[in-house]
Formats: sequence, C-alpha cells, structure tokens
Amino acid sequence: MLEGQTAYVFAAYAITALVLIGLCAWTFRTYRSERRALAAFEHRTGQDDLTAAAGREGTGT
Amino acid sequence: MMWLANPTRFSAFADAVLPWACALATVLIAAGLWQGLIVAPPDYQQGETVRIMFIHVPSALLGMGGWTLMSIASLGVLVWRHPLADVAAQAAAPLGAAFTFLALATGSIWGKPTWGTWWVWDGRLTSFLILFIMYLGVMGLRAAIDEPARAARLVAILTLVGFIDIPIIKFSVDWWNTLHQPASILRIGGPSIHPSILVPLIVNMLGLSVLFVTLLLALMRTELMRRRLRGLRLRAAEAA
Amino acid sequence: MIRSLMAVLRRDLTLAVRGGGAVGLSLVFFLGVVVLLPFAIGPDLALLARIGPAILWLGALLATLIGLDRLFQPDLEDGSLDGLLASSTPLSLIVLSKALAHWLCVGLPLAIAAPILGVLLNLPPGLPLWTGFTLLLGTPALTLVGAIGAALTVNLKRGGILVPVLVLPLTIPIVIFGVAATRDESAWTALTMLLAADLIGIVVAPLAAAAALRAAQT
Repeated sequence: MLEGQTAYVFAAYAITALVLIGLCAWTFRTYRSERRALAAFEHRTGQDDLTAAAGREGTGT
Repeated sequence: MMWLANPTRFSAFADAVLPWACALATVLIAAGLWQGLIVAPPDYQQGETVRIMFIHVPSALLGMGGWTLMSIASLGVLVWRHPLADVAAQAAAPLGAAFTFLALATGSIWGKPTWGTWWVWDGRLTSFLILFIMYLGVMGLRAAIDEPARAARLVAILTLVGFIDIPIIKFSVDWWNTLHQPASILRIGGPSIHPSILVPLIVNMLGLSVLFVTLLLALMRTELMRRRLRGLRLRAAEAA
Repeated sequence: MIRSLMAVLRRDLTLAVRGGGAVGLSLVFFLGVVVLLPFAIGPDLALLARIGPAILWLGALLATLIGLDRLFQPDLEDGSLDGLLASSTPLSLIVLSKALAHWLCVGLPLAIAAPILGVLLNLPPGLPLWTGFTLLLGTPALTLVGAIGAALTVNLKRGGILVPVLVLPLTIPIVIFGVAATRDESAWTALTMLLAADLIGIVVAPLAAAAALRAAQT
C-alpha cells in the first residue's frame, strides 16, 4: 500500500479540527460579547430586548 | 419562512433552539468521527486515506450550499424584501468560506497520496478555487461599504452574479474529463458507493450540516443583537 | 433613445481621448506586462513561444482592469449619474454604451497591439494575429464583467483595489478560454465559449451594473 497514509489522514483531520474549533470559538465569542453589550445597554436604559422590539418602545426610559 | 420573518420572533426561536442544535451537532460529529475513523474499513485501493473523503465531500457540499443559501437570501433582499434575508446572507458568508477552504485543503491532502499531486488545474478544482475567492470578495465588499442597506443590496447583486459558478462546479466533471471523479452519490440509479463507505459519509454529512445550521443561527442571532444595539444607540443619541 | 445613447458614447469617448490618461495608460501597462514577463522568465525563446499567448491574455486582463474603477466614478463625482438614473433611457443600455466606449478605448487597442507584441514573444507565424483575434473576441467580455465590479464599488473611496477581487473570479474562465483558443486541440470550442461569454455579458452585465448603480445611489 501507500506509505505514510496515516500522516495524511491526521493532517486532514487536524486542519479540520483547527478550522471548525476556531469557527465555533469565534461564533461563541461574538455572540457572548454582543449579548453582554446589549444587556449592559438595556440595563442602563431599562429596555428589554425582545419586549421592546415587540412594540413597547419609548416607555420605561 | 414568513412566520420567522419577524426579527423578534426569530430571535426568540434562535435562543430556544440553539442549545439543542449545539447538542445535536456535537452528538452527530462525534458519531461521524467514530464512524469515519474507527468503523469504516480501509479502502482496498486507497487504504486509510479514504477517511479524508468523509470530511472533504461534506465540506465541498456545504461550501456550495452556502453560496446557494446566500443566493436565495439575495433574492430575498432584492425581490421579496424579506427582513431577515440580509442577516442570513451576512451570517452564511464566513461559514461557507470556511467549509470551502476545508474542502480545498482536505482535497489537496487527499490528492497527494492518492493521485500523486497536491493540485491540478482542472475544471472542478479551478472553479472551486474561484468560489473561495468569491467568498472573500463578498465579505470584502460588505466590509468596505458603510451604509447597511446599501451594503445589503450590493452584496446581493454580487452574490447572484457569482452564482453561475455553482452549476459550473457541478457539471465541470461531466464537461471536462479530468482527474476529479464524476458524481457517485446523486445519480439516477442510486449511489454507486459501497455501504461501508456510504454510511460514515452520510453521518459526517449530517454532523457538519447541523454544525453549519447551528453556527448560522448563532451568527444570525448575534447580528440581530448587533443591529438592535446600533438602533438603540442611534435613538439614544438622537434623544440626547 | 438611440440619440441619447450615442450622446453618452460620444461623451465618454471624448472624455477618454481628451483626458489623455485612459487610452494611453492601458496600452503602456499592457506593454509593460508583456515586456516584463520575458525579463523575469529569461531568454528561453522556446518557452516564451509556448506561453506567449497566455502572457498576452494576462496583460490584456490586467490592462483592462486597471482603469475600470473610473468607468462610473467621474459621473458620480460631477453629478451626471443622477441625470442618467433619471433619464427615460434604460440605465442598462447606458451602461452598455459606456462599456462600449471603454472597450473602444482600451480593449480594441489591446487586441490590435497584441500581434505586434506576439512577434516579440517569438510566437510561431500566424499565432500573433490569431491571438489578437481571440483578444478581439474576448476583451468585450472582460470589459463587461469589469463594469459590474466598477458599478458595485462606485462610491467607495478606494474601490479600485476591490474591483479586481470582485471581478477576478468571473474573468478567470474568460482568460482560460481565450488562451485555449490559441491552441489547436480545442480552438473552436474555446472560441464558441468566448462568444458565449460575450453574449451572456452583454445581457447580464448591464442589468447587474444598472442594479448596482441604482442601489449605490439611494
């Protein structure tokens, strides 16, 4: 058979793991930071994200 | 589709679904790894390197699927004026780009031991590389334009113009007889692959697809939060 | 309507000639690319003869792209773009008119200059003229595809850098077919594909560019 096959398989799976884990980490980090930023803003202004958007904006400032 | 068109309802839906989607993705990917690395036997021709196919094929399909999703979303922006269309297009771009890159990388790593070359300039590989460059172009264009509404429309136009590459990728192996193998799964007459290879392939396909959808939902939810925050800040600045 | 299209054509041509820059710049750039590559490759005449058509096609592509961001920006800057948008002539036809003007000033001269440079590249007899012919067929498609990129980036300050990135994926098949047309085995198929690219470009590019201009203006 061909030699060093497992090295190629390992390389392929390693690159995949790097890219996908990096992608998940980036997604999770931006999700969390936006969530925190929005929560901080709402905490200051007293508006709730989902209920305010549902039409009760302008009240509770 | 219309039920979820309201950003608020979509956000609530995404918040509820995301934990389950993450769990499902983890389970399926773990199953895929087990199937691909342990259960599947070495191919009598390719040996162990056939295991690379379990990543390569789903990645390639997701790369193409990502652009297709973006194209449908672009129609949503330009024609149907769907409120979430641009959010979906924006979220799908980095995901599709990542899977396209993976397909190119794993394909290259697969090619070296199997056919002796890291790369060949045939129809399918060239048009797939073009797809990757187009992803970069779309993300670059969106980053370069300040106004969100204008960016949405311009990116939509570029996405639709680029969609012609997708059928080219699909049919390039039929039009030009080259290194890459012709279709073996989506054929009339059923798959021509042995079940011991087909099952791991499908499990990995499911796992990576669910991962794609999970990350898409998360990125869309994040983008909705970002737009909401920007709107709130603008209103606060105007009120002050 | 024909009259207003001719007016747009004439205006763009006059601007290009009087501006002095566009026509000459592209040709000089073409010359530069075609001369620099043999310097970089070395005096291997046989090699140059083999890759000569590709050098000519690459040079033509780059020379076409180099001034393309200026296709719509002058109109945006002096306000005439609003006038074009408001006129009764369909915007896509106006785009087609401007693309024609660009091709007459850039693509056509390139296709004419190519055979001369082909002789410098030691191409076998007949091939310089034939390569020029393939360029004559292919450069309209390059201009049309470039117009899409120019329209998408019209109000970006440094849009010129982005235009090649956006447009490159679409131009690669055109270049591939153009060079393939210079080789015997696939010449006629490749020529047909070039013509197809022209036709598809004439239909799709003005529509896409017009949509992009309208989106950029609102």
